[in-house]
Amino acid sequence: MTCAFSHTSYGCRKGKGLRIIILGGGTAGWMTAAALAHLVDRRHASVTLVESEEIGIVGVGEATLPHIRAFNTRLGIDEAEFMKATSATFKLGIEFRDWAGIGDSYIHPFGAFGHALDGVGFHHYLARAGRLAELESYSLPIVAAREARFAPPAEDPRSLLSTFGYAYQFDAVRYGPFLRSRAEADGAVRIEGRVEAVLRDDAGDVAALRLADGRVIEGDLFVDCSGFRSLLLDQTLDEPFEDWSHWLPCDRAVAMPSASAGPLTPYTTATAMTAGWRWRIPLQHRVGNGYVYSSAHIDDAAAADALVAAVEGKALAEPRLLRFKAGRRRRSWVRNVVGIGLASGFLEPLESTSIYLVQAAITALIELFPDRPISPVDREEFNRVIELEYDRIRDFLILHYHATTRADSPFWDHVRTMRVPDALAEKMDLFRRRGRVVTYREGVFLEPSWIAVYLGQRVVPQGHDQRADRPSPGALAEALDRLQAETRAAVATMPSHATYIDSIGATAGVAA
Amino acid sequence: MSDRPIRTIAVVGDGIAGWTAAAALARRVPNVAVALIPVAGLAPSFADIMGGTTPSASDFHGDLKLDDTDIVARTGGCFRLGTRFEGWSETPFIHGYGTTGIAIGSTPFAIAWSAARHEGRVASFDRHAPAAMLGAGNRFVPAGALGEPMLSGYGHGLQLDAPAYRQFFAGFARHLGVRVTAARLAGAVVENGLIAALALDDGARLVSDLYVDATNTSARLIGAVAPKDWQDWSHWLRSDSVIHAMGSPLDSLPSLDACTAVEGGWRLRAALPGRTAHAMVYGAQALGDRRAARLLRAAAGADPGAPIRFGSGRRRQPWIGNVVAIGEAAVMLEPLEAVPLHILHSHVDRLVATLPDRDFAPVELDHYNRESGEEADRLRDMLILHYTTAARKEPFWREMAAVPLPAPLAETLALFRERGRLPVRDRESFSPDSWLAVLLGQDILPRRSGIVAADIDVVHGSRIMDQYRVNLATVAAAAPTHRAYLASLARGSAA
Repeated sequence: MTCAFSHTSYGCRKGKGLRIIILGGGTAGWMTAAALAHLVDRRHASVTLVESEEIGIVGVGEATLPHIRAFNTRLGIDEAEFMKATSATFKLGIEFRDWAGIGDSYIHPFGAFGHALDGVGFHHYLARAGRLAELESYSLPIVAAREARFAPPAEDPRSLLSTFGYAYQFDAVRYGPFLRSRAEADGAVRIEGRVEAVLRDDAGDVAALRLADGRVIEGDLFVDCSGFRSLLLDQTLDEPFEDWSHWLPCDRAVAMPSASAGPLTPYTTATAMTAGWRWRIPLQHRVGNGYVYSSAHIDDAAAADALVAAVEGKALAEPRLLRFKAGRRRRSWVRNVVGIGLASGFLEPLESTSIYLVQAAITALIELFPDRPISPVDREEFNRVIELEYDRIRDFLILHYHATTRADSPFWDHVRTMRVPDALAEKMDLFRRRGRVVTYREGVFLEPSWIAVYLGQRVVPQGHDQRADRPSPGALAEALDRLQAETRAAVATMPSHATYIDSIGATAGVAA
Repeated sequence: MSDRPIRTIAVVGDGIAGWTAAAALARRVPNVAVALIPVAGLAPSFADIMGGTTPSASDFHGDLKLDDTDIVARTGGCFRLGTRFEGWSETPFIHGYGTTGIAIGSTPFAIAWSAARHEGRVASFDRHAPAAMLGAGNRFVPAGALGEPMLSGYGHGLQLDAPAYRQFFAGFARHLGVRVTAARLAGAVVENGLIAALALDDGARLVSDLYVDATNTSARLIGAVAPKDWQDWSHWLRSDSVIHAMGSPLDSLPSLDACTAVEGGWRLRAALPGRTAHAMVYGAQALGDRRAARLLRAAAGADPGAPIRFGSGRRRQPWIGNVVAIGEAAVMLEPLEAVPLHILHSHVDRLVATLPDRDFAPVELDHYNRESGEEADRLRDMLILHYTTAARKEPFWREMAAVPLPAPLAETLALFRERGRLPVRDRESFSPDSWLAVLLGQDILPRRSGIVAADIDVVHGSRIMDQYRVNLATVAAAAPTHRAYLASLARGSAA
């Protein structure tokens, strides 16, 4: 075989391929190992994952975004097999309860509202017709979610049943082992051991990990998936942490699974609480619950009590406490260390972005896979991409807290009155003024997401695009009525969520 | 509830900028009255002289419910698939719109091609581009029209006869009810930093909710509100003079325009069915007006007019209060890559799509100004790219290449040179396909590929590329000539 770009090419260099050492065997670690082992030829890179069974994993991110499907597909993972292994359910969006005001409920769906006409966004026509309050009834995934129905999107782009995407809610603790078997089959090597020391070379790069039993694991590129400990990026390389807790003050969570109760909902629920919010993630075999809160505004015991009181089904375990801080390392890739997952940053799981951020980092690492020596161009581009992802999600999360009328606790008073990043303040102003959504090409949440959350958080436009004044009031009303009816009719053809999971053979067996 | 919609708009300037803006506003915004106020002795913009468009013109016309082929037929225009560049680097190259080649396995064509190029195993990049290959043979057919799979995935712009296009839009605007004042502009009446009224040369005053400055470089309205707001780009883009002439038509009507670099600038030839537009864009110091005129005369067979001077740059704030500047009143870029009409169309579209109300809220205007500025900056970078990656040695070219690049362009070039990646940027007008056509056309090769592409078998890949190229040449040769295609349209509309 002839090599591409022969003077530098990966595989044709003298000696072996790049030795990649992944530190940590949580979700991030095994996602990284599985992807690299599957997608990078063994002649170019070897993949070794070091983990210690003594160290527990956080297992955050049970709810995901639709992007996870692309990840699974690229790794050749069969959907039913994956769902069975992780006890997964389908997810059409997230329901937010009590956020802008107590008693409010809205769903942020994976799909658009209505359709644009003459290049003018659908919500402008709704605003003009004074029917913004009916927004949900023009979203097929929301109507389906409210009725606990699910079917995958239709192929025909003209069908209303094609107007959405979907993700999964799954047991993250089982996703890691599921990926591990695949990674190992693709040649990744797992080493059990606790890291005792990080050895560095003369230049300051990480050269090796020394384990407690004395073994030394040498590598060329180290991927820090050590979770909040950030053993390499923080503890070894001292990369500074940008603290965002003044915008996102929640710094703890208490989690507790419970037995399923009621119909299997194809959506996650995030209910605002006195000092944070509570998640409800329905899996096949249980429901994941947790209260994400600000320790400055409520103590641990009170938070645990509030969670226990709110959970519907029978508790399946004692409440478990997690600590964190919102923010990110200034750079995710420093020297020959790439941080992926919690080692590089943390954003609360309000919009299910944890696994997405891991995936974005893996994708960027593969696209910018380094040579030896590592080019600063690769690092800088990687850091630019990751920074953009984090910052855009951060602003989107802040929006949920800041755009509220709640004044029932010091926590809500704080987030309602805090100063938000300038770019977000301007985005909110623009929407409030005329329903204008600032668009961008890179970044996870697109226009429909912003519209769903603005309106759900009662950021209501005072005006609308003047072009939406064109249709006559009668014609507009008729078109809206028709679309509502068509959406209802299309949803009525969908099976129930539980029925659909069963029909594709994705039902998990009795839990081990 | 804010209920202060804009009801009246005064568009000042009767060049192509004014007429297209007036027509678009009248067509696309309901419940507004649009007036157009002519300006005596208005200096023409580049868009009034050179009628090349990028593929985006089709969307612009479509939004106005106009059909491209109809415009072409009515104005004596034709089509353009891109530009042939000669004398910029070692070998001529074509920037054809749209895709080039096919993926080799899972490897994007540009990466596979670069790998083969490093080993000297492959024909030039443009010979794998459908638009370029059709253009090379003076042929034209829209993508997909022949049902031939290889002739798809490309784009085309229009080559318009600028004065006829302007006349067409003037008629269209009148048809849409745009009121044209008999009196011309005398000046803007400014009070408190806003336009209070327009003074007309018959002594009358005209008051409007919004004023659109389409007075080209004279910037008669925005300049009265903000005389000093210019961001100068002339250190990056040193051409400062243009001359132009109309020559006789070419028998084999090219579907590419020809852009030929000379020691102090470049020369454009854009063919129309009935005549051929020629222009020379140059640095007055570097080339000299007399030499420029001699070169253009030789090419055009006609005498050029007097030189038009210009300076590249843009206004920081094209929208201030109740006045918005469009076209050259806001952004000045030389007519490379058909950007003048592209910018104008984009300004008009942005104006329509982000129209505020009579409060002119700063947040809405700031947003407009930022996005419109970003768009101009990205276009600027695309033009600088042509110069900075050229291989000419004369002082004009060397000095330009020595100026530090705008940061985003420097980043893009570093990333591309290292590994063939192009960053995704907001408000970018040109597709990655276009960036690749220019970069690889000027022989800027990435040092290495991505890891997933690292296993390309170059021998095997080159064979696939060769086969693709040969097949493409065969199907392109069977496509109608540009003239034959135009004739078939004429027959179709007659039937």
